[in-house]
Amino acid sequence: MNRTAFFAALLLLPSTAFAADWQDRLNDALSAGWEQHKDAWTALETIEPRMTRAGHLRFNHPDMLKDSAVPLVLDRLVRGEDPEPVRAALADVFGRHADGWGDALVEVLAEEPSSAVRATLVYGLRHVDAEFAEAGFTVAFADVSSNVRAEAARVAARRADASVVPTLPSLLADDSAEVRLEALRAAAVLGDAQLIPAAEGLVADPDPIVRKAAVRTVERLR
Amino acid sequence: MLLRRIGLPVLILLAAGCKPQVNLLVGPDDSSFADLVEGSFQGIVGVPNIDDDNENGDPDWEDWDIREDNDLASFVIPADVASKIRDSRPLRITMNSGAGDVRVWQAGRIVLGENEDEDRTTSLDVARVDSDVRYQVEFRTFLARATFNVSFLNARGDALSSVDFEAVASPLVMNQHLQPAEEVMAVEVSFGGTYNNAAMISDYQDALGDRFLTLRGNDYGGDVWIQDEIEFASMAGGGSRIDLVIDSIRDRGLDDVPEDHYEGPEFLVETWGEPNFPTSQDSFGNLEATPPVTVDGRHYPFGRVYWGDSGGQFNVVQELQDMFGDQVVQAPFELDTSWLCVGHVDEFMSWIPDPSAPKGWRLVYTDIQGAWDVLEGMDPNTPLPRYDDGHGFDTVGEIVEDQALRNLNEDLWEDYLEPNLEILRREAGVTDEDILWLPGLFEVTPQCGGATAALIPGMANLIVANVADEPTKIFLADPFLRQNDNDQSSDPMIERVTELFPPDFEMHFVDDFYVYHLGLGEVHCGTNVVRTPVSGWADHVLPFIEED
Repeated sequence: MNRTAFFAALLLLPSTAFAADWQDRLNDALSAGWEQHKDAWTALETIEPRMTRAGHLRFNHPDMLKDSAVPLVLDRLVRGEDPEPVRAALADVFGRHADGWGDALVEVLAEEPSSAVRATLVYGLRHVDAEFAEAGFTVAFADVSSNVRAEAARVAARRADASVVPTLPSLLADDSAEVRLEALRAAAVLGDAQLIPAAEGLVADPDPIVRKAAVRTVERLR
Repeated sequence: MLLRRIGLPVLILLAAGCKPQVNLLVGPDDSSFADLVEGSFQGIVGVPNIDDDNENGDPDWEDWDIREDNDLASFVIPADVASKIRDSRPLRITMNSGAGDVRVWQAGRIVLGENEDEDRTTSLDVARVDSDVRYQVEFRTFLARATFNVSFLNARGDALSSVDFEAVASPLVMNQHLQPAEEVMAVEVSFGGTYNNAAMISDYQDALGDRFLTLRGNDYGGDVWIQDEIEFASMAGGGSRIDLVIDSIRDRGLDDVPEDHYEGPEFLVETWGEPNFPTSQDSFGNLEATPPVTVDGRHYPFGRVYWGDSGGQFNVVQELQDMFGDQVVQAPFELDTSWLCVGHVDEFMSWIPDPSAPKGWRLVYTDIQGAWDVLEGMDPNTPLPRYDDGHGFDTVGEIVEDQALRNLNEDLWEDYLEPNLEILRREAGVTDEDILWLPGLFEVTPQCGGATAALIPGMANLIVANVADEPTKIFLADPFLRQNDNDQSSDPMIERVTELFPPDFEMHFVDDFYVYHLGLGEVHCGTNVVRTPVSGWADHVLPFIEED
């Protein structure tokens, strides 16, 4: 949780995108959903995540992967009653269908106490509108957890989001090797030649994987 | 000369003038002779007596009673030899080594080796009779061995004629894909609504009939990863076969499957390592064997065992590594799986039999560029409903245009896939002509710390169902690179992959998407296969042991 970054991020959001807005929409969607799809939603509420082959939990029920399930997923996530592994699984499935809920994603990301859940929520920034993505990256790049910062850099690369370019130099200088690595990879995708000096500086990084990525990034930027 | 007829002298004698010859007959029937090839090995082969034929709960070796055992090898002093024994010309069998690991029984009692009181008998004078004298040889464990000498002696105790021979027990041999499939199994689950694997189970049942075993998911906590829980291996020799389930220390829902479905007098269940802190690498999708290979002139007739090392503690438990090392015959090697979220070797490669291939098999290996080629040949506007559900890609174009995804896969090729292929070239003798390049892409997946899993359902994670006298059947993931789930004929990836496999293979692209693929596994991960052991190990194996 990083409230300073969150409030900074709020300044980036459209004026309509404040908490009350998405919570009102969520409440409306829940009311309508329960009224129109009571049986289906009752069934959805009983779905629990399954353990993946890697050992973590994931919701892979096809009915949970539809846009129509997002209100229930988001509601369950913000209620915060499930244990952390289940909440991370909720964050995963919410993130996969977060388009249309960018404002909610940014606020939940800023308020979420678990770094594991935040690191998973960040993946949702891949699918939200640009202004919410920018706000979300502002929050995530300032996160106290290096895992969250690294995942955010990774997702920024997936979006090819040029709005993060000004932030990349600070990520390239991050204390965490994982963050520097992912920032290099993001820089390679974003293709901004202004990032070459910072990337070249990591050719001598203490971490061998970062050094290798730095060489690649410089090649890709040239 | 291959000696195949019972009744023929297998061990040829040092005959000198008119001195009596020592003749031994080895093996209970013709089958045992298949293990004996003159020139590379002369002796007795068998299986370790570690099963439980009398079902008393103890390994038969510890029973001190062989009346209900069927796993002992044998040799016979023929009547024409036994009848030439005189007081002045005794026939003596000497056990020169291995008395703690091998016993010789006659008429229900131990005559050579260590008895229940830990007394060792290493020399036996054969009594004169006019009939065959039969001995039974019992082995304590894998590769237990003993050396013997049989001699006619003169009055001074000097050998008039003699013969040396060895007795050796089978190693534990892990199955590989060229061995015929006897039984294929998967776990049937239904988690409500359309979240089930009915389509995959149905495909298996239709294609394999009685050869397919359906395990009930309700009995095993819905755990579908049967490949990860158990691995099949076997021992064969002296006309005996013992199957063995290597039960992993993973111990999730499927932990009881070996005991429920396989454990029996001739089907053992063994675990190596303690289940206190299993890692993903202890699951047996991370334990595989190559087909028979020749490396630097050394032939591995049973292939070589390999597994993935993901760094630090994330490797196969040491006890299991040591066990496979001790077997010698499938000398293990490691690949780098640190880049994979699950971290198993079956996520990016496999092996198939192919009689048309130079070595009789192909290495199926992930082809990054081949995947891009198929995708780039498609209409970028093609909707991909399954990828929308599972990966956040609505269309082909969204995948093709994802530069981060391209960079990632390029890096994975350079950093891991190509170096692992180099290991396979070095350790398994793989050459370019041996490789079947199978399109595949990986992506970073949430909750995996930056590690990857298959984006296109991993088709290299396949099952080879090569039932004897039937076309080889390949079961692999339906890639779903199409708009209409139900129309495989419209899927360009299926068309491409089908072209890559031998034309007489039956290809089954099965729907593993929600239950397996999105659970970070594929068809191989959710299936297991019992295979027919390969016989004839002794002529190949013993030179290895001598070298080791």
